[in-house]
Amino acid sequence: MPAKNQFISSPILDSNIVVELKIIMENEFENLYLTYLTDSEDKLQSLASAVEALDAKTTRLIAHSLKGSSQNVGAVAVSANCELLENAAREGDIDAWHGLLAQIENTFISLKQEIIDELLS
Amino acid sequence: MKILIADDNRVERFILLKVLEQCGHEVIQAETGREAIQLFFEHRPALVFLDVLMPDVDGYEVAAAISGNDRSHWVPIIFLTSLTEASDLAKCIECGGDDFVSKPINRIIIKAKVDAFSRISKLYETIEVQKNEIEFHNEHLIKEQEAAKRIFNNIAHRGCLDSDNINYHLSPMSIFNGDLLLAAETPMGGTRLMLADFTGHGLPAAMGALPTSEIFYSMTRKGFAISDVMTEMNTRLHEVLPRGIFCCVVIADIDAVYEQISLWNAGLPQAFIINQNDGEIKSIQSSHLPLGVQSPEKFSVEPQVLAFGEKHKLLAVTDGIIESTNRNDEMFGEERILDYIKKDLELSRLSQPGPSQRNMCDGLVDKVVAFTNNAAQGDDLSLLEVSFPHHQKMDDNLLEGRQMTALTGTLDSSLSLSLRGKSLARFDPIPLLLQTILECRELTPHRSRIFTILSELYNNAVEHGVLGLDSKIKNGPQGFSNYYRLRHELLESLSDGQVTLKFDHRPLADGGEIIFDVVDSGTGFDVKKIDFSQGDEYSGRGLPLLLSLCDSLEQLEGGRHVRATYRWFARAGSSSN
Repeated sequence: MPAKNQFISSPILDSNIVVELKIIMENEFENLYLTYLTDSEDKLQSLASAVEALDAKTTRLIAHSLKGSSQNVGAVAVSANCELLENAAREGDIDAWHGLLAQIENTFISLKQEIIDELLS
Repeated sequence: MKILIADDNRVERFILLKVLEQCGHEVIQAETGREAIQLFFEHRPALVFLDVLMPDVDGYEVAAAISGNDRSHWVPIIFLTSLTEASDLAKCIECGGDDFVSKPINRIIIKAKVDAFSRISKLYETIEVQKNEIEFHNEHLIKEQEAAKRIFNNIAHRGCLDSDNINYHLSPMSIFNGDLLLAAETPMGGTRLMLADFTGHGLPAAMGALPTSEIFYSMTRKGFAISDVMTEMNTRLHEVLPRGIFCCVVIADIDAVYEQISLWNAGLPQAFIINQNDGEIKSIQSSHLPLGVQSPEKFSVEPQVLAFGEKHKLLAVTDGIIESTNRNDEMFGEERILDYIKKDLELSRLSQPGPSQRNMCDGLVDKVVAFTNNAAQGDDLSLLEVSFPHHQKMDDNLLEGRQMTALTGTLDSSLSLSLRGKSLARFDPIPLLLQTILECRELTPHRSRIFTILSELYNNAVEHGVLGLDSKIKNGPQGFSNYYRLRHELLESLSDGQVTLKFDHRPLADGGEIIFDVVDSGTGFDVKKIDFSQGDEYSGRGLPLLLSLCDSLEQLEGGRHVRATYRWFARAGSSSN
């Protein structure tokens, strides 16, 4: 990989954070991402139920939590979409919820692929 | 360092765990707020990381629950937060947190925070250890002071301070302020008082009180005059006190027979002699360096003598009262004391005629407390107020008398002592003669009377015989000062002149008799010429007193030789073989 590319962040996964996490997590690096993926899939399921039930509070809390853990692992796009949903839930903007949930699910699928690539590399 | 992290987010917790473990810390993890509280008390961590938003009990509540339960052991709490509102961040601190870090977790910031708080924690621990040490030492010190106070109180006891004519104010721990108040009855039935203030505080200031009190009580009992007592104290304190510690003192002898007071002030604020009838206030300023400063060779004492009777009061203070300071940094000062005395005099004259029963001490202490607006200030004040002593102790020491078992010492003996020239000014022979006579223990109950006879005879021989002074000089407003100034000047310039004192103590079947012979080198005088009816207020006092105490009083060699015979009887039950 050319040297200059190291500083270009992927819109899905922030490579700087990935590098940093490798230093922090050492041999638990893979474990962290696997934890993130399982944890996030659970959260996405709960999030879908909450949106379906039009439960603003639960929607906001789960979106906030997913935003937080995504931020920590460098999942920039998922984190950004979660923040949009968190705000929409706080403001009671019900019309936007379904669209934002779909966006989160889509970016998560891309993210999952990138993570698997990263772990296999 | 043992660190508790409480976060419901597994990913976040995982990263934080690794960051902390990498720095070598032991980490305890809690997934919920409730678990965090439980684990906190179970593991007693040294530092806590708290997520703000947790599903059951949030971080604010956890912080409130775990902070401040044990003030002696400080555990810093750091909040993990993605909140950015200033008020949310402030709330972290309000509810007991010590700091906050923003998410996402940053390895370098976390490490820096932990290092910083570990440093502060160590400081706290050091302070805590030192605080405990200080508390321990302080407790120890207070116990020692209590014990020392008991010993001091036994030696530097209050003497006759509880007499009706004495009011005083003295803090119970005054000895450690360096203040000392002593009072004793003189052998002639008068009162001797001493108010002293050692420089400094604490034990060093208190130490000087021991020799001071011992000298005061033992020399007063033996009949030594103020100048001898002060000279002895100065010599002793000069020897034992370190540089910079000395003793300011006011000492006063109230003579109940002649109704006069001898006063000496060395370093204390002015003392006051108050005439309650005409409102005249005489101030006795310090006329000498404090005790312990001057070497014995340079030391000399000249007490002032003033009239002191029913209508008079003495007020003496230490500098605590003068230096009491109010909020505006003004000192109470001597002017305010004088104002208080004047007002008190007016008040007592309005309320009742005659000598006042008012307690100036308490009134003055109240004034100072009101002035400084600080009740604790009263603890630093030492004041003494004395009015005329009504009792005249002449047949005392019955208790001591009862302890005797056999005839001892100088029962059958005679001693003659002649003083010439300078010795008359420099040496007081009364204590020496008194002690020798009292070596016969049966005479212990007669101490006061023998002292009175000896000192009356000797003083008459010196003042009227050798110096030729006329007692009438004592009359009039400046009489006392004139008389004693003249006495002092004449004695100082004396080159010849002589007084011979002799006692001859003989046993008799039922006790004994002491014959005193006092011969002076003067021109003599005729006792019969003294006219008691002519208002000779002071001059006539000595002879009637002598006549009342002695079995016989003879005048020989034209008045230059007086022979007094004192007769005493053995007490029933005591052995007399």
